[in-house]
Amino acid sequence: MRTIKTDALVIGSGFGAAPPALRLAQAGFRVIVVEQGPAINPYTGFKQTQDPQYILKYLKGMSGDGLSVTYAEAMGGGSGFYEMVSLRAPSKVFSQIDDRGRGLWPAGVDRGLLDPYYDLADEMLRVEQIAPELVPKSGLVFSLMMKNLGYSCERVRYAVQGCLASGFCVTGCVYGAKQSLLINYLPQAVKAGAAIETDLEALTVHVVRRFVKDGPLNDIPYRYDVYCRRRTGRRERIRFRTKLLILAGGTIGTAKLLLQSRENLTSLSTQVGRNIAFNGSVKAAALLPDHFPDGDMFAGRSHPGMMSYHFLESLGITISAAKPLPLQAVAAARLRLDGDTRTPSFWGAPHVELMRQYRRRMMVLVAFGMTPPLGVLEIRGGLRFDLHLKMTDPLRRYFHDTKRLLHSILLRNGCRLVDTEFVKHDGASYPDLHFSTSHHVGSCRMADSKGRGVCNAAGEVFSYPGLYVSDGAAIPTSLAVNTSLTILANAERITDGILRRYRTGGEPVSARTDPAASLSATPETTRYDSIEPAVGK
Amino acid sequence: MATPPRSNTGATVSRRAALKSLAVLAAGVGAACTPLRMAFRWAPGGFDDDKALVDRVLRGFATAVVPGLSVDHPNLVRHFYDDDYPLAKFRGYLAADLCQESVDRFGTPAFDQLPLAQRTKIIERKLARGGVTRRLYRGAVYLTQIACYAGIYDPDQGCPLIDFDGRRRNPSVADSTYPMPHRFLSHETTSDGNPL
Repeated sequence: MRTIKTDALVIGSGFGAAPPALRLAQAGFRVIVVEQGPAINPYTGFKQTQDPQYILKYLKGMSGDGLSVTYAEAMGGGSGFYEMVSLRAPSKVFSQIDDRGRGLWPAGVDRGLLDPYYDLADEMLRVEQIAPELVPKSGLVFSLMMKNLGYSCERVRYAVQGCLASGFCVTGCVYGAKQSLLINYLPQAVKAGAAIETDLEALTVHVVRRFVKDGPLNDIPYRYDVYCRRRTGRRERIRFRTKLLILAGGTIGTAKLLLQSRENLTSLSTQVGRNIAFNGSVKAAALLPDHFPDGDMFAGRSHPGMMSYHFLESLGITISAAKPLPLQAVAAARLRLDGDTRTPSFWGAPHVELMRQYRRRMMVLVAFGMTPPLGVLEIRGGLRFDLHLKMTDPLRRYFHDTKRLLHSILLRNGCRLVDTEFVKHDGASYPDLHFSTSHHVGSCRMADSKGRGVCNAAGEVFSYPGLYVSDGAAIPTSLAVNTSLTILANAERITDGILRRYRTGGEPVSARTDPAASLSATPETTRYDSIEPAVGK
Repeated sequence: MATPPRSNTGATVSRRAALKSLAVLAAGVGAACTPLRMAFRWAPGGFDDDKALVDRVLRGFATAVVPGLSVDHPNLVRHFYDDDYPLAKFRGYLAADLCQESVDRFGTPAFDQLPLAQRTKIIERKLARGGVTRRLYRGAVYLTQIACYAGIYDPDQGCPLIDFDGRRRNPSVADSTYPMPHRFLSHETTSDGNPL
């Protein structure tokens, strides 16, 4: 097994990993990024297909009692496959409290603190509000429904330039219009000297030296070892020895790595894997009445462009239209027209009749809410993990009240409701209330004390100097909007703190880089061989 | 070192293979509804040898799950032959089971020749069973729906039945929206789309 030494090791390459990879490399740190998923070329690697074999190569899922989560395992994390919605978390989010009345966010971390970092993230991803003439049909029809009821509705902000409205955002943009991390942060990080290694899984973290005096990077010793295993070829094992270790493998990935490392990190908070927030996603579907114009589930960007904050202040929820894709998800939803008692219900002629109307006449609404962080990821011996949600009466009430509101919006517009019943991978339906999300955060949350979280407001893991969590795992609560921009902005903030503490020279963190300058380099070209020079740097 | 157990044919069986067989048996007996013949992927000889027969029956199944699909479509049952999916191992059993149920219910083994309503009844009946039978049929229905609706074997074609036109050759923003969008837009409460 080889040992490679570096100043900063970043685990993961998604929204929580990209800022430390770029900024630390720009500041002159030796940076290595370890991504367990495959490399993907943003210009040639994506496909317009619904083939599960392609989709499941990059998108993974985990399911347990009450909760299913979907996440990406690929270079760039979810940024290659998300719907590009890039919104700031509402101010109200940061004042959420637990059942004992204590704030869930660490003191001082709020929208005001994050706004400068949101600005930076917006600039890097070239985020813009969608123009009215670009809003897809389904979004316009949704907006019309809200308008009919006197509810406000906003045009959403996206990380996209020159969108061609092909409708395949979630399988990766083949036109290079999506501003994924693969065309800005990551190639810029490589250009600044970072090495990105893919198909390499971090297995365990070990402490090399714990009680050392902190100071500039040059003055501190190597503190952590991370054992990794190649997922391809000869399953090579590599030990990385690093001064700074930044965990950004995603809400599930980061928690797994720490749980697997618990016997080596004996002072770790007991909160690892707990407090997973899931954005309270509630969905409702219906057929449009005849007097409404058509929507279009298959054309236009995958997110329909509109979101309502009308109920944000009163109920803590946002509502948007959705275009549930890929089609596997639709098949898994077991659509059935409300009141249709024919059997079979979820296949055969009745189902085909509904699917024929799916593209133009179906409206799907999704609410995101500030539901409490009740998800738990536990290790069950070996490398087996168990995900579950602590179902509570308030959570059930939230689900039913929110569903009732969505139904009310649809019914008052003359729609006919469509029942959905989500099923497990084996085709069996969930026996109880079940939430599914790709907006899960918080498994290693920031908090004011070790008893309530895993890392402090700076993202540093309690009792482990130089060990950071910078991804969605650090975000303590549901956000009621898509999570990617907040994860990115918070990672920028955490990286800023790391630089202030350890910088020994190089460019300041505020140095802006022209995103277009990155287009010439794609990180896929960086393979293991190119890490070698970094070692001797 | 322990001596490898021997099978009744005299051939040496590795400990691993023996354990695996025992595990399969235990699983079959443990789940009361599990037909052992399915656990061993056993099907009558005709269904092991006659590929055309299996193909016809599976086509009869797929066109009952998604009525409206052409029974001659080249990709109609390809998912049952795709080793990347778990049902490939059970297609012979599935076809045999459908034909047996056809005999029991309608007096003919020719499941594929039955009218749609009768084929539907048979599948419904199987889905109403418990244990592994239901899992097998649920999986077969689900995978058939995915394969057909999503057009997974022909990304260019998509699924004309549901107006899914597959890969976009010439996407157009104009086709994806409506002119004069302000007719649709409700009042906004933010200046830039971000919540306050």
